[in-house]
Amino acid sequence: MNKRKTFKVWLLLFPVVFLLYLFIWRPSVMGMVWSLFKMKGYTPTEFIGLENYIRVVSNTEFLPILWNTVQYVLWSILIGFPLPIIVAFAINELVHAKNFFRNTIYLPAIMPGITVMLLWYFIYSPTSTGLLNQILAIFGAEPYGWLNDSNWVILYIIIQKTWAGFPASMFFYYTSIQNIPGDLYEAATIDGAGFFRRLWNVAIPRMLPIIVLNLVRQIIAVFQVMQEPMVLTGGGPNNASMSLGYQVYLYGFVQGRVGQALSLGTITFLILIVATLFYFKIEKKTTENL
Amino acid sequence: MKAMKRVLTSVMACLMLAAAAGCTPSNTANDKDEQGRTVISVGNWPATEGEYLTRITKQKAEFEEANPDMAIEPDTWTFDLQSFYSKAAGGQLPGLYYANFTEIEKIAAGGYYTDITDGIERAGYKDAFDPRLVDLITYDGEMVTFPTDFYATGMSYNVDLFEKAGLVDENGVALQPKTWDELLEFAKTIKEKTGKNGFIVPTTNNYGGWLSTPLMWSYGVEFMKKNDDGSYTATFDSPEMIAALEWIRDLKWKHHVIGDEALVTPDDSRRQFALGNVGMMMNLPKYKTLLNYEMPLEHIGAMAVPAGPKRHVTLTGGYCATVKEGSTEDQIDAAIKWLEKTGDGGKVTEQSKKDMEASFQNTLNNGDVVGLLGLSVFAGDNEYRKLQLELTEKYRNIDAKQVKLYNDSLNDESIELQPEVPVCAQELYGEIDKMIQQILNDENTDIAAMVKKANSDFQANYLNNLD
Repeated sequence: MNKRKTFKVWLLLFPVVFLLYLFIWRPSVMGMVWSLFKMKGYTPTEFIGLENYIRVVSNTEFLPILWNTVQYVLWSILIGFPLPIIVAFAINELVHAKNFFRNTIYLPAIMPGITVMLLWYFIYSPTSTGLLNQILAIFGAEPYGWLNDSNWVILYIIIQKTWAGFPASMFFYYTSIQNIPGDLYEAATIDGAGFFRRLWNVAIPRMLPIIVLNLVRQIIAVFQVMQEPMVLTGGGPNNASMSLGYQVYLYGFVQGRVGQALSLGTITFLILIVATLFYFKIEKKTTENL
Repeated sequence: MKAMKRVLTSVMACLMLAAAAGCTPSNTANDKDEQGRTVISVGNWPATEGEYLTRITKQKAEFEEANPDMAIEPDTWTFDLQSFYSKAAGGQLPGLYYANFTEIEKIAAGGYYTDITDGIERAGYKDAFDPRLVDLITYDGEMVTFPTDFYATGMSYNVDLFEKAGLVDENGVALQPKTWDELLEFAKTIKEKTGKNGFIVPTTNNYGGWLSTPLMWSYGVEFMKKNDDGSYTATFDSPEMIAALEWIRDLKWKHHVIGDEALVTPDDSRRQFALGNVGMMMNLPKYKTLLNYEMPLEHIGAMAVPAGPKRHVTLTGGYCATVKEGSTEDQIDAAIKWLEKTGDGGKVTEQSKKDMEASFQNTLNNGDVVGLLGLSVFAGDNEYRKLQLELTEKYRNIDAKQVKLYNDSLNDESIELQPEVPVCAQELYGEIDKMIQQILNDENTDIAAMVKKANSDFQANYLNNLD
């Protein structure tokens, strides 16, 4: 490519690169740099090295909150990860009412996030008026605390998050299934393969890169969970559902500890960078296979 | 292709200019307009059409006519922590912005104010403020903000449930629980006679901690002490704190007078109260939210906070107006004059009387409760206070007996008024929230061990990390 052409390419790329610099790269790098400073609001005043990091990591709540965040990810892998794959295959196998199920299952994805959380707030209400407790009452059971149960609160939040988020992933998988050449299925059927055999030997291998890609994306997204504990539990009971993301919010916007918010944000970033590098590797492989 | 290049170059140039402008915050207020008038932008301006906007626009016109060298620039921003720091860092705060007292620490620590000491003196307010407020609004000898509202935390009660439970005297005025133990008896009576919960304790968003401080103080709890070197030591690992938390625990597990929830948001508590499901709750003398939940006005009642074993004390709070960082003397003068125009100044003139009347009318038009008294921002038995009392009575829209217990308590000198703790208030409230959640979740919680840990965590995580 000659210099003139290279110049034109850069010229075309420049607006995008500039916007990326302005809205993503610059704030990210500045956040990391400022995490080494004493902050007066959003203004760095004095270089203090790793002091903000020491404060964050030595906070007696740091390790419990980190463990909570890991639990969010583990539960989401257990529940939120397989569900959309299963539903996508189930819809694909439907002969009748396929469109009806496909569209109605997608409904939670188009509901505003805050509405979904409020809806689940009432579903999980620990009083006898809560939807789940009304169902329990039919079977003669006492009302249960749901989000008030510190042992299982993260699981319940993940169930809500899965309900709201799985339709989008499900469509992702559904489209992927549709792209599997029909003759592969037909050949497998002629060879006597049943549904599960076709699934295991034909569909899953073809979809594996996309499945792994989605898994990594999910880990990255759930590791940053913030809105759900903020709205549903306020991080409680007794910090049992507090996440790193929500703690960053509290540092930055409630307690006015901007330096610590930036440090914890950077720590989260460093943890996630490992997953992100893995994601890029998988994405490259996926793109090559498409 | 040449045309394309020109377009791209222009777009890039615009982007760079926009970015450069956006990246260069200016904390110096633009203080003059083209007519040479001092301009001050004012926050909390109504964003929607309505009577309030009409009235404040009229006030603006009157103000600019009476003060031809000053101009008001409306700004609809209202204080919220999500946007506060970014606005402050970008120099985009309104020239005069309003916030709750609890935010003064952040405003002062960030330096997002102009010292108004001289302006206050020029306007004749030197030594005018209630002495209890002076410490609160002064940092390092500088007056950070102008207090516009000052109130004492009280209790809300449901008039209907009190009547059904027989907790009223022969004149139909509710009985005042004098102590926390008596409040518990009231709650039991309400539960027994009406089937509704006697009390509700919010437990999230730092709200439970905030509203529980009067209870804890009244048991003799001291949350922290200031050391000679300026540092603070957490001091709430005490038998008094344990006793106060045991009282809350027993509300649920022993007496069953509160709900089953361990997580109660501020909105939950207000909604439950407004729907008539709860007899009493700690509350500020602000009742608009209850009316928003369609609580009938005739069911709203306000009373004093009960006394504890050691003290009879309540928490004070309020609202204040701050002149933003980098403002000029002329802007400070304009800001104070505007506060006088909107009924927040302490001077009584024919015009200010009209302005204050308009302010009360506006409160009524907004569908708010008029009849609850606040504390006076200004010291002594001043003219302004008299006018406030007179207008509150004139525009009162709630039966006097529904607010009598609260209003009378403001003159009760046996009730101490105490502001919130001087540092790490939100962090402390967060620790208290967690403890209340824990005891409402598990009746067998080892409260002494929990308090010891909370005290130690609060010291290590926050008080040891003060800048």
